[in-house]
Amino acid sequence: MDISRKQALTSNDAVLILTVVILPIHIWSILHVLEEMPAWLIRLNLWDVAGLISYTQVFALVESLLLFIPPVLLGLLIRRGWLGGYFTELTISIVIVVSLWAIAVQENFGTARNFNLAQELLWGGLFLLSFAVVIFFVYRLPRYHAAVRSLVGRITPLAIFYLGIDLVCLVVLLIRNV
Amino acid sequence: MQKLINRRQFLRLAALFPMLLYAKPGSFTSINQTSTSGKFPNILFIVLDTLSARHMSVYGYPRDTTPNIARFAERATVYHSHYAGGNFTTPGTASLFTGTYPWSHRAFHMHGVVVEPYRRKNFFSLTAQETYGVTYSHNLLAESLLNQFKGDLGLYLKTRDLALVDTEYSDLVFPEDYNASFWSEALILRGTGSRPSSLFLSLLYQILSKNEISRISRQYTQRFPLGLSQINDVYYVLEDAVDWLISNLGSLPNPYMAYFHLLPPHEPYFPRREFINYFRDDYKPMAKPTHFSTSTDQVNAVNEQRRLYDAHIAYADSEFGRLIDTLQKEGTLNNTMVILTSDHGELFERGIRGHVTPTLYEPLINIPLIISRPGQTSREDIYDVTSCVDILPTVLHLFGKEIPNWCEGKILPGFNVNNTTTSRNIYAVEAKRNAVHAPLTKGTIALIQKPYKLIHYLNSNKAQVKYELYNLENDPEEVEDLSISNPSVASDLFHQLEIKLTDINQPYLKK
Repeated sequence: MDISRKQALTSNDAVLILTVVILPIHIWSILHVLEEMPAWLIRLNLWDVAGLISYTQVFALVESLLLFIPPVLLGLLIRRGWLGGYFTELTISIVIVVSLWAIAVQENFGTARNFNLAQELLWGGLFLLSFAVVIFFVYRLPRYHAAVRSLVGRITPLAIFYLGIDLVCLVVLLIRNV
Repeated sequence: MQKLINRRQFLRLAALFPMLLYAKPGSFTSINQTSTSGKFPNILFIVLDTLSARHMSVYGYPRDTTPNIARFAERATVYHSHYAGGNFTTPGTASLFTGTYPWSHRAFHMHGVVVEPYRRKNFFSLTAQETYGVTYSHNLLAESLLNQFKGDLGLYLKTRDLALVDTEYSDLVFPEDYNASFWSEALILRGTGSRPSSLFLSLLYQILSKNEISRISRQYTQRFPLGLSQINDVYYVLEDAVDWLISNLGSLPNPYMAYFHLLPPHEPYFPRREFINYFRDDYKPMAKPTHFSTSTDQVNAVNEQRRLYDAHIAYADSEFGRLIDTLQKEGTLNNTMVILTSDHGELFERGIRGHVTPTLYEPLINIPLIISRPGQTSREDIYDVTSCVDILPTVLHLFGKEIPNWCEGKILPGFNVNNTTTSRNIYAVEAKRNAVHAPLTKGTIALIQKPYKLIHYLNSNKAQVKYELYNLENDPEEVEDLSISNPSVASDLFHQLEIKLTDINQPYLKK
């Protein structure tokens, strides 16, 4: 009996999910590293700059894995027919929406921290509404599935490139700490 | 339910624990040998971060900010023209430790450490055979430097050991790569000037740490209504560090070299409740000309911050008084030299508040130095110009050691019987924008050659002044810039500074 055929997640689907997890986390991280880079180059030698880059990128890798593992485990546990067979599309869309919200919160963290109850309810409502929109797209727009898979498939090489950088950074950290 | 031990008792016990881990083998047995010989005194450094001599009543400030330090000074040597090596913690502290100016040790950035050739050129390492080094710093910038020297210390207390809330993890996970991992953590979880580089986990971290900080702060609301003192998200109360000293100093192996870098009166200016309303008086500081880097801060806002800073000094002074009084009562200081100083000052004039500024006016670099020697019973006042780079040669002199030729300081007046008062140049450097391994071409340098002080703005554009000149004896408030009216003195000092710059930049010029 081929159990994998009954699981909601195939290995190809896992790669697509990994891609959408890796990209926002790494792009966000790299942008902020680049922002700091001029100051680092002034006060540090190149080996220490490599160290700082490595810590941030290895942390991005860990963060990506922490976000990636739960949906993968869930995908391995539930059957393919559940969620209407749209587990992968739903997961990809949710990760994209959650990432966009995380970026929005990061950009406005100072403001968000001081929200009153009414503002919290308003933004909480919008957060939930964005999920409703995602669910609508997944279940009501068949062309959305193909578009999502095609788009994420095209950017997968970029995610693999970032993973390669992470591995180099991991080696740098090992050298610095052993 | 009654707790077995309270938080303070726990802190004391916890602080003793690393002593066992870090203690040099045999150090506790050698204690008796050295203490019975009594050859060398213990040395206790109390460094109050951001304490400007210009704000201390013991140095003539009109507000009575330092009555306890004034009592201490009655049995001490008071240096009136003492200068920091820079205008913030890193260069100021590194110069104090190494006896060299920032252009030598190169720790002149916010995240700076001394360059490798200077890592063991500090008074802890140079006296490691004779003394038991003990260090603690509330300020993580000073902690970064102390971490470089920890191999030569008997007891290296970490900032977290006496902190209320500790949100740092990197040094626990990557103890072999302290500085890079520490500042990476700051960027990843907290952001260094911008947003954190972690998209998701930093949000979780910030929510959890803010909750913990709020919880702790609520416990202290009665004593500290304005909030808890903090820097880089490390929260503390000064009383805990003072209590540690009172409880543990007497049991340290003799002779010890204890360095305690305590943050008050560094901002935020959150004094204990009874000091908050101090100095609501009619004192109006002298109006001074604006500087080209002047911010838009209003005079009244700056003056209110000055009042709170003064109140914060009074709070730090009261804790210093409690420390000295208790240690003296217990006889702990009988063979101990106490050195009270600071790493840099603070500015509340010309529209500038704080010490993150390119300027090097007196309130920023004129710092206290008060040294009480064992058995000293009367006050001695010294008006010669001295610098924090003089501490290292003085310490080495006390231990009968040669002054190394790389040291840029001199033995302090009052310690060297052969010392003759001669004119000398003292420097303070601000070079945050200068690359660490490049010639010094960006920043500000002050040259003090009594009675004059030249402030040179390196790489200044045409719209800005190139240098200012003040006569500190006639104009201690630095109001009248003499660079135009007295061009010969200005030109002479500027020429001396140019020669010095050529000399110190030589190793960094590309061949």
